[in-house]
Amino acid sequence: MERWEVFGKRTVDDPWTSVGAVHAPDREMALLLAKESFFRHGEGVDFAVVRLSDLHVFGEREQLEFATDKTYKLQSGYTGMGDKRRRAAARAVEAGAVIDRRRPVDRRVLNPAHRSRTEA
Amino acid sequence: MSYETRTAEFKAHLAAGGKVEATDWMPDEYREAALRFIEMHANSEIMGALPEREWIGRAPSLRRKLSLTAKVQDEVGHGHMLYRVAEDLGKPRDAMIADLLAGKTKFHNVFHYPTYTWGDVAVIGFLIDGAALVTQKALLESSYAPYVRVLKRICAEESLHQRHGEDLVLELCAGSDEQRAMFSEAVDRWWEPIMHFFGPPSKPERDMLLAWRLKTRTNEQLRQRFFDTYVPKLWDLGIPIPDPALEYDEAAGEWTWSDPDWDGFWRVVKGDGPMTEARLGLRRRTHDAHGWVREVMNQPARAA
Repeated sequence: MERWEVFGKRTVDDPWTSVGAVHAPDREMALLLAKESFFRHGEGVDFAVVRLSDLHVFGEREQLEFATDKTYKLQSGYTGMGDKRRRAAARAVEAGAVIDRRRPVDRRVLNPAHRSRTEA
Repeated sequence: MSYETRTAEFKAHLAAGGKVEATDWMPDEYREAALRFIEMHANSEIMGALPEREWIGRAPSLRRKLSLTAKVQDEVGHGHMLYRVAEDLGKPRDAMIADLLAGKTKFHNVFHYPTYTWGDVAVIGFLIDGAALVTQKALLESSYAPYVRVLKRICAEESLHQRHGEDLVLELCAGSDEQRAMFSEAVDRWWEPIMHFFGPPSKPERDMLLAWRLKTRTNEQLRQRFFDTYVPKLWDLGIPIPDPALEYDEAAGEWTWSDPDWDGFWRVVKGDGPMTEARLGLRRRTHDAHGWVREVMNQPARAA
């Protein structure tokens, strides 16, 4: 018997999201089984089934892995931002570039020259 | 049902926080406003990739070169996702690209200016992307659902770009006096275009984009939000901002700032900026040179 992938929408604005699979002989039966298996408790506003054989699977995992260091494409490629901010702020003080102008009090102050303002 | 009744119902749907899908009925005015807005956003992603593209060859290290290349590629991708959304509102993608190249449609003011140093790249990556992120995050509340879905993806990538931009800024600001000056001078050059980017303070009751809930925040709300985040960050780095009036007014709960030259803004957005012609010219030449790719892609598939 064929396997059918089941997709659901939680709200009308959501994209189709995979929720599981059912085995069924035809479309009508697949829809019925999908409804009974995945949508009996208000899980969404609509659902759909697709024959597994109609999914064209890429299947070449190694092509999705990075052959070289590509961390510059990821958030994790830019770590230690807090330290970098403090270092650059300290460098500003050393260069004599202190800007003491009114700012919202809840804004975190990295420049030690401003520290008195936040403590006040 | 008359057009007026349907429009009234549509407005009530929006007022109740309802969303609009491409296949839903919508008044012509809504369709036109959404199309024009999203088309301009798409144009800006495509044209906005060019100032940074100019620096790929001159980036100071291999890693900076790679990260800039990846970012430019992301921006062009955003442009295409947005053209796809705009297309469903009734204007073919070819026509949108043709109108951009012919200078008939607009793109954001900030992409009409030249870049002189690596400091400009840092400003674009941190402040201009930051300004764009502030506006795009606010657009996640837009009434046009297909736009919101695409914006979710765009915002995720933009927050990476933003971090990349801040990384560039911190590297320069923690560096030599020359590096600090390079960034500071770039901030001086770009501050006015960034103020222009948010647009003049507008009358909310006259803004059709607000009326249709395509936007939900005024220009001024977005500008203030930008100040909240970015002004303290620049000041912490000892980088002055070229606006003597810029300061937080505790009593009013908002920032004071000076009006830039708004005539200059209107000239630039109408296509008379210092780099408008050069960038459109490059885009036209590239478009023509790559015509064969479109031709091959559009050929019917041959049996294997």
